[in-house]
Amino acid sequence: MEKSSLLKIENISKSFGGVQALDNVSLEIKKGEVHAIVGENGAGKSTLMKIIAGALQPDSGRLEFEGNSVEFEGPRDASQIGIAIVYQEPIFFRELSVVENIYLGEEIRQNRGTLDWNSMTTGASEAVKKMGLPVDIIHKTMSELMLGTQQLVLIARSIHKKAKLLILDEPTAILSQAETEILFNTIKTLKEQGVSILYISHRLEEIFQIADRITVLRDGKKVEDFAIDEASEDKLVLSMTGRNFSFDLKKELKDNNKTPILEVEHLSRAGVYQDISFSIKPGEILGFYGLVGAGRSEVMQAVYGELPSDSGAIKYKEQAIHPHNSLDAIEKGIIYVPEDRRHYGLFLIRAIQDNLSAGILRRISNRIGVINGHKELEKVQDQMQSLKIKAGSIFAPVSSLSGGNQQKVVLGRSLMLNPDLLILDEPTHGIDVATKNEIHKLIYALAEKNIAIILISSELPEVLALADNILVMHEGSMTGYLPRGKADEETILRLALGLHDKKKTAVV
Amino acid sequence: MKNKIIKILSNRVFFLLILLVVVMIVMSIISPYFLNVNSLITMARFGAVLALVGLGQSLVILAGGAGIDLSVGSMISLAGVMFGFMVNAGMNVWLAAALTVLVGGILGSVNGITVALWGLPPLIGTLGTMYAYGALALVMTNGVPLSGFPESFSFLANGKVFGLPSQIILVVLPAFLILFFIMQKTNFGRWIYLVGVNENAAQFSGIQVKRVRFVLYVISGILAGLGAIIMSSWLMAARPDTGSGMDMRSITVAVLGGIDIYGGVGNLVGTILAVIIVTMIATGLQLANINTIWQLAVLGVILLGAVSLNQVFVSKTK
Repeated sequence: MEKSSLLKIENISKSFGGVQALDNVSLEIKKGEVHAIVGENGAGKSTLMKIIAGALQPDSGRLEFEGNSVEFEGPRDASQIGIAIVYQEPIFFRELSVVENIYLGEEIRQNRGTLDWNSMTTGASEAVKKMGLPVDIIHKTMSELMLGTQQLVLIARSIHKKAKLLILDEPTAILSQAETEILFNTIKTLKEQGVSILYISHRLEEIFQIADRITVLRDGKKVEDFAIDEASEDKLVLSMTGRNFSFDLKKELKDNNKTPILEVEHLSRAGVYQDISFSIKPGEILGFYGLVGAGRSEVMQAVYGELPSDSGAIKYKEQAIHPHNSLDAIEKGIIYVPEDRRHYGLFLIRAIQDNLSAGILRRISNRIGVINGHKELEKVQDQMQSLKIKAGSIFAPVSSLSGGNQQKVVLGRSLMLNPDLLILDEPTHGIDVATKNEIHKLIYALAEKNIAIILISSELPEVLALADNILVMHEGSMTGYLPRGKADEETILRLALGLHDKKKTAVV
Repeated sequence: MKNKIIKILSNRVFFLLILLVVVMIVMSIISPYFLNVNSLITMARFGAVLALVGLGQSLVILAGGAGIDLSVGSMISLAGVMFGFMVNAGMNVWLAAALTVLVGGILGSVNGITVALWGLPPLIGTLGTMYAYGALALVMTNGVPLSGFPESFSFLANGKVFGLPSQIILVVLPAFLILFFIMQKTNFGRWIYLVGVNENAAQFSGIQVKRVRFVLYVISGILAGLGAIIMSSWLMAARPDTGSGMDMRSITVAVLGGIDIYGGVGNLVGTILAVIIVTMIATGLQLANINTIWQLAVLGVILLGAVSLNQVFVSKTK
């Protein structure tokens, strides 16, 4: 059965100050279709989404919705005809309740003009129920909910608005496995009801689970589109990057008889994590796997001195340490690269140079604090070269770079501090495949140079390919510690989900 | 061509330079006495204290975290009163002046402790010290000005060095140059911007966010201390209300000068230009015999108009 067309995009182009973000892109979304858009960062996916959602206006080209030519002056126009979008970094009101957020801007009023809370409560209950969420959350404020739940509420809001086209931008980035399942079931139901979904994700496995059609963007151009049964992971990667490369880089396992550089013993913080013990040797890559919210970052920030711990001991280079801030840790050679680069990593409006040198200013200044400009420039340029950061000028704001290059800047800043122990928190989160591969290679190279690396990651293939040993956490507890040789996807996932099966678990 | 003009006008420093020229022309038309050497010198003397506390205010705001120092006026008053007591107790006036700068730093450090280290909201913390310092200055003097400064001390506010007002050459210019150098060339200056743009990223990069902000409140206090000395020399008395109104005026010149109220953007040259503009308007209107109440209204309108107009140009470049 040929489905009828919902949205047609014809020859859309958009440029930002000389950068062609979209170049003559056309695509068609049918009713009841799940249409995935893939591409490296900077390929133009977000720009395309924003144009469809009315948040940006194209320079040229046209949109056709249900057979009628449409032009959006703002997001409201798009929303009125039934296009809803849930952004990757969702926008909502933290201190308002779930009901209020669901009906935001579209509150139901009684004849007197006062708010009709009864209808809204009923409506919101239905909406969250459809997403498999407990109904009692609707009177909680958004800030009381977990990240994943917040995301599901926002998707519930869009569905409740009776959208005909739902745009989801990396919806699973912050969802747990279970929440992802809920989302996928909802998507299937919506599809049956004739709702179309435009789905953007870096996770190819997901796309193969739910999409009907896949469009590949590269450098603002549409490269190809595939029906799902014509596509394969290899084909997509080739199409996205324009080149072939292997995913199966694996670190060589070597005997490591060095003295541990870091030993953490029985570290606990009430309500966050309990009794965490591990050690890591120079040149070792220790994977920290767990679902979002398992407490991995909190443990590491305690080692970095940015978050407190209640009890336990941290030994570094065979001495007990009590770092009380990041500067303390940095001086000792411990560097933590935080996850959310926009909020914890980048100085967006500042120059690339300032972003790279932010950590080493103390080391390149004289006694009264005057920065040695030549040294700064030299070190920054060296780092840009060795990490292959692509930028027009080092004085351009870091916000002008693509996501992958921004991540390299954050990494580069840390490497300039010459760490002995490098803690990377989701270093490849939300970046394109090519840069991801580069960062993986970089991690190997650093381990070769005898740097100890703790890799916090939610991507199992990444952990399995890179880590010598893998520590698994579930809701604040350590549920497993395995050498890579004894680890497989299923075992690790079971541990991370808290499905204890002592016989299968090789706790060393 | 049109784009070029818009681009120039969207740069706050150029915008202020043009505004300055416009103000000068308008004021010369209103008052024939406006553009002569004597009134220019008087204006420079008049703007000196505002320049000092305006610079301090700019730094505090630049470092973000909703930073603001409402207590600069009260710090001027209290430091001035302390200065008066020291001189009346027989201390050498220049030694007393040096100690007054120290007093300013200590008063500022109280803000630094409550706001930067303990995490009190800056608006509340410095509102508290604004009242406390102001009241203390009144209590200590019973509201009566302290005189008794030696005749020679008048030189600082009324004398000339190289034919220019001595408070500008000896205090304001060096203070500005030192601060400008710190902002442009030192790691501390860079930290101020980085902390103002993203305090979380700064913290994770090993920049001591709290300490940077603490130091800025101390600097604001030190500049208020310098202001107190100049005011005492100007009035040849220490009045317990010397600094009143300085808090709001210092914020005015900072924001007119292009310091982003949310931190991270702006520079001290803008602040100085704003001080010159604000001082010229006040003096010009005075010379034209316009009631002081109207002067404040004009200042308000100029602030709103200038910042809005600049915003229009900025948004056009995007």
